[in-house]
Amino acid sequence: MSESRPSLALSEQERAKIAAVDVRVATGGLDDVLSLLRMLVEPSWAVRRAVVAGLAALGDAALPGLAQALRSERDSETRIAAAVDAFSASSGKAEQAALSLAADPNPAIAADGAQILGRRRVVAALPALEALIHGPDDNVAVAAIEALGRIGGGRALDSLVAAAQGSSFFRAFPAIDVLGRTQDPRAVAPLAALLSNPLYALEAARALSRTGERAAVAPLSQLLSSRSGANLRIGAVALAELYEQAELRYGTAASIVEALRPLAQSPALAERLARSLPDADSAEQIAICVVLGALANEEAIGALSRLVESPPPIGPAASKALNRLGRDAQAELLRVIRQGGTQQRLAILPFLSSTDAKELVVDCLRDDDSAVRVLACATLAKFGDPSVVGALFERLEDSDAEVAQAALSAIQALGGPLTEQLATALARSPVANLRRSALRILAYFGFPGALDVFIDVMNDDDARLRELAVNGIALIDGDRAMRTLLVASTGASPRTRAVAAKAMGQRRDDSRVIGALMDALRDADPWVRYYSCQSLGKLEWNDAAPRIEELLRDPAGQVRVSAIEALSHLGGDRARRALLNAATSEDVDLARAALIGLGIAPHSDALPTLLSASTAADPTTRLMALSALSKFESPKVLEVLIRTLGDADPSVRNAAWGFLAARSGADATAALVEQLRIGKNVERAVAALASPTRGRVGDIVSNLRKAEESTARGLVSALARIGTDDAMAALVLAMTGETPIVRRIVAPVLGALGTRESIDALRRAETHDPDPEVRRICALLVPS
Amino acid sequence: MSKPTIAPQVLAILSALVEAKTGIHYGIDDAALLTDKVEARARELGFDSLLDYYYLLRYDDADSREFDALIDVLVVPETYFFREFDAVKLVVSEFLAPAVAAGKRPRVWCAACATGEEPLSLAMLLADRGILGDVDLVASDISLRVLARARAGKFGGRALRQIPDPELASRFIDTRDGVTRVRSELAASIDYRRVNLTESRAVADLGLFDVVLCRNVLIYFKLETTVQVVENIQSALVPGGALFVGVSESLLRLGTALVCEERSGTFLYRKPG
Repeated sequence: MSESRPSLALSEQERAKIAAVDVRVATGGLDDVLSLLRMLVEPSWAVRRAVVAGLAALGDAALPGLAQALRSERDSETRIAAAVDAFSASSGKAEQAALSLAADPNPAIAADGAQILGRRRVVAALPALEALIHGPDDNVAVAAIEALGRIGGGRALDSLVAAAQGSSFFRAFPAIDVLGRTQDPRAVAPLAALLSNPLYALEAARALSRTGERAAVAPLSQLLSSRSGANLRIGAVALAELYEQAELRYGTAASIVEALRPLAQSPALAERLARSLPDADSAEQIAICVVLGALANEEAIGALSRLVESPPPIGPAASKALNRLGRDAQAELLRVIRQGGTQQRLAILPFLSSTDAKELVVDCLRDDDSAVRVLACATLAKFGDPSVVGALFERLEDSDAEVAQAALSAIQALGGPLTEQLATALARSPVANLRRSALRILAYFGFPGALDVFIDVMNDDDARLRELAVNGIALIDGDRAMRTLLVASTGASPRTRAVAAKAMGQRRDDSRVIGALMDALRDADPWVRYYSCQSLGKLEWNDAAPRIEELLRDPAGQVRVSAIEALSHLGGDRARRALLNAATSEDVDLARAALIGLGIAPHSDALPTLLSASTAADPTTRLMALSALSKFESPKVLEVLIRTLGDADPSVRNAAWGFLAARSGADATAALVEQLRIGKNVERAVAALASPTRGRVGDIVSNLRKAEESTARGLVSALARIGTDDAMAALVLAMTGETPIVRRIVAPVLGALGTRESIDALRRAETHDPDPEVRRICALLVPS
Repeated sequence: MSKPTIAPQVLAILSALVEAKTGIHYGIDDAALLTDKVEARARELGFDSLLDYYYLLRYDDADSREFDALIDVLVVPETYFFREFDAVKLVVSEFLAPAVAAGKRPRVWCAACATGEEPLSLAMLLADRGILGDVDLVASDISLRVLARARAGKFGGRALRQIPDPELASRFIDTRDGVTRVRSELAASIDYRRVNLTESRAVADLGLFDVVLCRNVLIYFKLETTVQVVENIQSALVPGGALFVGVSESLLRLGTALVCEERSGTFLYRKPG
């Protein structure tokens, strides 16, 4: 039982207590149960969880004690919560005992009983729970409402609708909230009806937004046509939430966007939305931007483009909304950019994705504002059409250095037949900056025809030009280029020698570079030694290891680090021993470089050092250790990754989530499913599960079969977000699975995906599914 | 030459180095911003690997010359004349003018002043009351480049994006050919210093102040650094002295010994007297 726990996260004392719990559970006598019941107030969450799991595993033997604790030992909230958890998860026949608790005259005990019935999804308890909704105590009624929401199904839904429409304010509100959280398509119509009741409109709108259902778009859209600014904002917030929910659950909000499309015809709606921004709070402002993006008409795009430069949260939200616009909106984007000024160009250029815009973007290269010119360069690079390089070469002469740099980057990204010719001509320019740009381009592509240009430049007074030429020569095959490179490596200028040493790391094909690099390890200049080490490592020249090891004692820090990096690539026992020594060096950069190196060729010898570094006080060292550990297959690494999901430093946490997401294997998937089950980081866990690693779809499907409802929802979302053919096939197949609750969860997802296969699956389930609830849900989802 | 690329590990060591030396915190969300700025500087020096550039900073920059150049690239001189001007007026009316009237020579420090628009706005108000020569006006920043610009007294058009008191501005500011200049006696009245706010010794060397303005700066620091910077500033205040922070900043979560007060809608923090 304790084997699967991340033992590194526990103290010695906690580990001992958990081991004792395991022994008690294995023995299972009355004394053991009593002892475990006393441990329900353990201060350690980890120990308490083990106790709860143990009592649940003991089943019927523990139920009387748990019931007794809930009835008579209510002095501790911790004990009550733990007892309810154990009762809810009990493997025993807990239904009758829970019903008895729910019938207790003490409202607090009755509420606990209702909660347990809900968590155990006791369908037979529906009449009792319905009675509690109408009972005298509001708290008990709310617990019963929550329980009905968990049990789900048509009858529970009807009871919740009745509660939502009832006269008790205190019961209607939670009922509306629960209806939204059921994510049951049948909740949409009754919630929509409540929008007309001013008392409940806001809550109903919130609940509708949580359904993620396309059918909720129409009633929520009506709020946007209200004369009241408050209603307009409520509608925007709800529609934006609906959009987000759909994206989270189905991996796409396409069905919501499609349902919103008729709104684009509403006259002046975009303008009204934009005008309402000053009165809106930050959440409303973000929502208004989302709705403007979903409208995607010219008016809405114009409004968004004017908002992009607003301070947060409006500016970033407007950018995000523009970024979400698909190819469909390109025509509107172009219209707005054509009619707009600098601000519109700045706002919209990053989001153009159509080569139809090429001419317009080339025009922007001559905009008065340098920021527009920079963006235009980047946009043309993104389009990937090399026919524009002529216009970009003109911008190399731009008075603004950032524009010239952007043009250079764009030319390097585009290449094309004109580039060599234009760059060769520019290399003869009398202007030093232009010659540098030309050399950068020629060196980047390593055009063989540029060798003469490079050789000429080797005699230039400008050191930077010589360095660029060396870089270019390294990319050109042939003896003449190699001889020039070798001469440069022994030249008078340390910088040129350093660049040559670096460049030689790219010449795997010529043995002469090894001799030159080995000589350069003794160069007087530390940067020459630095790059020589680096290049020998890149070339994986194992014979250099002894000489490189000597450089671990070099007076220059950067050379010592470079020696470590080189040894990481060379491998072998000696190199690994050197890395292990360096990993505990007092020079943090040397130690970090060694940690990274130990991950390049994973070896079990390195594991203890890396595991130890993963608990270092310094977050950067933890991050390095984690990066290296992620390359190891050991189960201990999984434990570290799980522990590090809760690291105090956000960068380390982020990296741990990334590594766990990218890790293949059933254990890694199970670890993410456990995060989903714990429920603290549901969105991150779903996103991580949605990383399509090898075997991930199959692992998710295996977990789906045994998952509780909330976990199953996350798993289904992950499959939808993976979006590959096998994931889609798994979703369709899940509609024929054994568990009705999974089929109920999958059905709306298939409806939202709207593919031929998914709709066919819904049609089949509409008529043939053995579960009447599933049939009713599918009937709502199948397009008429 | 290819565009420098940055791995998360390199970003982590670079941001840790910047934070250790300046206090400026670059979190995960600022990765692109930091990368862009460091890349630009590394490219200028001919580095196409940011790790190589990092090792230059770490092992081959004993006189900190390159790190200073990097700070110049990283620091955003985002300020303008008359920014959050009510607080500046309050500094003059409630603290400096009464102290001068009482025969004292008050000292005021504009911490992290960027290109100097804030101390110059303060100087305008003091000159307007005829007490500019009676107040010690110190302004500091970590970037030598922005301090050089502040000393030059020339500004672009965006420095005048808000002019709450056009009459005052017209008496001290002259804009011709797209260049904004302030009257030379204002610039001459300010003692510009280079100060790293995280270094307690450097702050202590400035002496004690009646008022410190440190506005829209603390947002760039992590909580621990903010606590340290506020402690440094607190030590630089005379008993009863006041610290002004930006309107969107609050010290209440820091557990500082400074006492928050509200005057005419402006919040300030007083050192118990």
